[in-house]
Amino acid sequence: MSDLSPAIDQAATPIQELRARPTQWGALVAPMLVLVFIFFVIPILYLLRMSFAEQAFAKSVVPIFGVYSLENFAEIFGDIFFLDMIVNSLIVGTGTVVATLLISYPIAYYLTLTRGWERTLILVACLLPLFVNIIVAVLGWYILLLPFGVIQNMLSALGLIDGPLGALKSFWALITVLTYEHIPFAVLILAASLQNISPDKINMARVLGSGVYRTFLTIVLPLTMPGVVATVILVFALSISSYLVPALITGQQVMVLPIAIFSYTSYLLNWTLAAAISLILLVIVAGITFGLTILANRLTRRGEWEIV
Amino acid sequence: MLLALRLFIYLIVIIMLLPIMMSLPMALTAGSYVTFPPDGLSLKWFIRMSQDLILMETIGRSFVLALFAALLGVILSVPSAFAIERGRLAGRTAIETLITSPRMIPQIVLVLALLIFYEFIGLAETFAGLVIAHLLITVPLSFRTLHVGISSLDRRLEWSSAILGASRARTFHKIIVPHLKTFLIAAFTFAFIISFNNVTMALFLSAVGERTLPVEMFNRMYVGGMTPVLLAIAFVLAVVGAVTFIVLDRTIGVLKYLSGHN
Amino acid sequence: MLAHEALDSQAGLETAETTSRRSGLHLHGLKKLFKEQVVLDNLNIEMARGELLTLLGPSGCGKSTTLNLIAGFIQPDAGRIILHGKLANQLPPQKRRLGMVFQSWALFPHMTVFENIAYGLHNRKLSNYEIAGRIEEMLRLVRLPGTGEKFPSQLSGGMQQRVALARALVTEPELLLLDEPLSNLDAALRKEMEVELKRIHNQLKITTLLVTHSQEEALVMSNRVAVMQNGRITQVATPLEIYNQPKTRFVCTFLGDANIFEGVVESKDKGVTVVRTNNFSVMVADDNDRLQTGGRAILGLRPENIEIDTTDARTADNAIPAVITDVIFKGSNITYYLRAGEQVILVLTLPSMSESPHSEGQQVRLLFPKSSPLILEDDEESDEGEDV
Repeated sequence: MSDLSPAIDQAATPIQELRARPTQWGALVAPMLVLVFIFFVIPILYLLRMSFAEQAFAKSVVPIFGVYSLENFAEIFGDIFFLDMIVNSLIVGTGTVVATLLISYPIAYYLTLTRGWERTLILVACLLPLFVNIIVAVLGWYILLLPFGVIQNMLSALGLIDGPLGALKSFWALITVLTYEHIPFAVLILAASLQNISPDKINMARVLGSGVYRTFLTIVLPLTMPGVVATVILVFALSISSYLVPALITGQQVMVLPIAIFSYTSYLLNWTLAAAISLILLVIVAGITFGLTILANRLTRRGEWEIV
Repeated sequence: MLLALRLFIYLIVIIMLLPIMMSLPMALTAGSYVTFPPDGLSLKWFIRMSQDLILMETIGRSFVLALFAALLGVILSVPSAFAIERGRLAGRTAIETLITSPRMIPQIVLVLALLIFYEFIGLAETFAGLVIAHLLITVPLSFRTLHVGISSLDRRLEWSSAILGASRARTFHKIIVPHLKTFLIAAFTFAFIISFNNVTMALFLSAVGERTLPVEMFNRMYVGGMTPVLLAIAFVLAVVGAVTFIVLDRTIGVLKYLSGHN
Repeated sequence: MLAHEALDSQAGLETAETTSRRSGLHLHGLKKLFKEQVVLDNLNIEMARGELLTLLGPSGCGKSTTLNLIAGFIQPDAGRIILHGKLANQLPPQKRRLGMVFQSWALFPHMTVFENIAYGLHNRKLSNYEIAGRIEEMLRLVRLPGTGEKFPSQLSGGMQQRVALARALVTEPELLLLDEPLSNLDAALRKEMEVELKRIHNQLKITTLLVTHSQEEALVMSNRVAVMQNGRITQVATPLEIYNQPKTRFVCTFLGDANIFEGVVESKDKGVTVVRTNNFSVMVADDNDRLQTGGRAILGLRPENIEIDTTDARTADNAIPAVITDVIFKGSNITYYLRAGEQVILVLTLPSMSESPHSEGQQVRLLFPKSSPLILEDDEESDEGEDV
């Protein structure tokens, strides 16, 4: 028995030590927190401050306790150009969300039915845009949608049209590429959501006399609603925040908020205005997030029940 | 009904793969412009690409940037993930939320805020500034990956090791690290690819002469339109992406991980 | 379905249809394979109207597969499913007019109890008033009055199970399928629900097919019990018969405890046969001449049918000397483990108010009449399954 006691003593120490000092643990996470605080929290707060400042030239420092002004917002909301832009962004976001959902939901559903290589193939095809640079996808779509491009040639060969396809049908092209970029996110969330519905419940609905449509509307959809809402919020936020795709695909023909932010930052050097536009973008995203979440919970009475 | 669904799915699969696969055949064109079908086959554009010094420089820069960002990110994430999982810290959820919050706002808003802030403190158009920016958006993912790894550690293995007389360092080295190896690789790879592929931040924060690869491509496309060289690079990027996918699948079974089957 | 089976079944179809007008369910020649493995092999079941038939068997015997085939979630590889007098093979589940309760109960968590139960009534063209009335009636039947506005997650396990039952019954189906409905309940609740289910069945007289691996549920609730093994039905009988007259070794040991004696028939004389095992001889009454001299015999003996004699005075047909190895006091009964040579024997006795239990190491004699041992068939030798 005495042979064991040194080992036991030693064993006690690591465990005791582990329990004893939250400050030591705190030291481990401190660098990260400092990084996030200095380079995230403070810059964002300063950005907020800037949006409520008088329009000053770029690179000039706006004092925290200086003048507060609504000048930027007045300019934005007073100008039809900006209001148009906000509406455009909302339309682009909504369009992307709708298209993404319509495509991703059936894919996610089908994923619950297959196994093996078919499943892997679909997952790889749908998730690849996550890992391959967005520029590759944009270039690829550009080729497809270009006047004199692939689709153009195909349609000509089929005799459906003659002459160039005109402008890239900018708006639709934008939605197409944005949808393409965000299908991976949607498929992931929806597949997980659908996977969580026990097949017993679906079978039960069938025994009780429900056909495919009624089962979907009354059982599958409500139970996947949290996933649908999460998808909508995520895809909406990502798509209206995208700068690259509108810039390259539409050549700035479709004016959306990120393009304005870029212009005012890099070319027109009106940083306070850019900050104000960013704030509006932020508010839209936050508004959609909270609004949809509350709405969906209300509709499905989500506060009152849990999964059984 | 099921047949219609299947057809739809396969159509989508083709459409999803098409833009990425387009780059290769088009880049192999022997002609001077981007046409479909390609004007003969030739490797000349790939050769052109490797001869383009500026391009090669940007590839190198992107690579080094991603390396730094990923490495630093993992170095920061490991102790933090340990602290969150093992230490009895107050406000653990708050801390986790704070760490992941940079990803919760639109990236363009974040980068604008950083740009302005950097002007203030003199980090504008510096490599360090870019590294920090990439850290902010990659750390949430490497942190989460490592967190999963650490919470899946079986404590009893560590306790057995301690009871058998191993020092803390030895236990860490022999028991904890092997288990975490795959998660470390995954966290690094995630961070790397996010940094390597990132455009928005690099666009705002890099100096004109010191562009990263995606920014260089963006500029050339914006100014000069489509050229086969761009497609050659696009093909290279596609391969990088595919390889990353494979690595992540082999380590943490990303297909399952991302689908939430764990 | 194979060609000759199709021709066969034409002839059989008429008789099947006439008889099944009397019953809700008729399974004829059902076969099902999963990846080359035979899960169901020539299953035949015909239920009498209003009876509660239990499919009893161990995991993997094919009983859940049978239910899934009847419900229509999977298709048989051969055979016919006849519901309410009509061939149902091609019918999708929603058209089969069944009631069903799953092991997991499968309540819809996002609907109230009321909405769950009302779910099956959507195409009946009933007024809201009528629907509300039926729901209330059901809730009273399963003893859950006033819970209509609650959500399943707010109910206990026992209550959820009763809601699942109410939901299955409200559509007044002609056939009720129960797939291990009590498995998710704890022991005390299970006993209570066994009696409840029996009461509800007696009240509604609905044709019910119950699938379970619990011998107790089978004995308590059923009108008839069908023991299933490897995709076939080994024996079907009333609970009393199946307990007291099991056909095979499997049935005997699956329902209740049993001592199994294997041996060779030594002699036969006017219906009294002597079987010699490795350790002792057993005298058994064989009125139906099932055992042949020189042949193998398998006998089953229920522990409660053996008496322990500590005196040496009593006589009986069988008096086997044995030594007590373990005494296990279970409150309402005492189980003795004994050894006679190499054979382990169990005896069950009721505790006596006057005597104390026997003790370990005690040499005793085990007494039982020649009518007690059950003559059993070996499992592999039994027929190609029985028809229910």
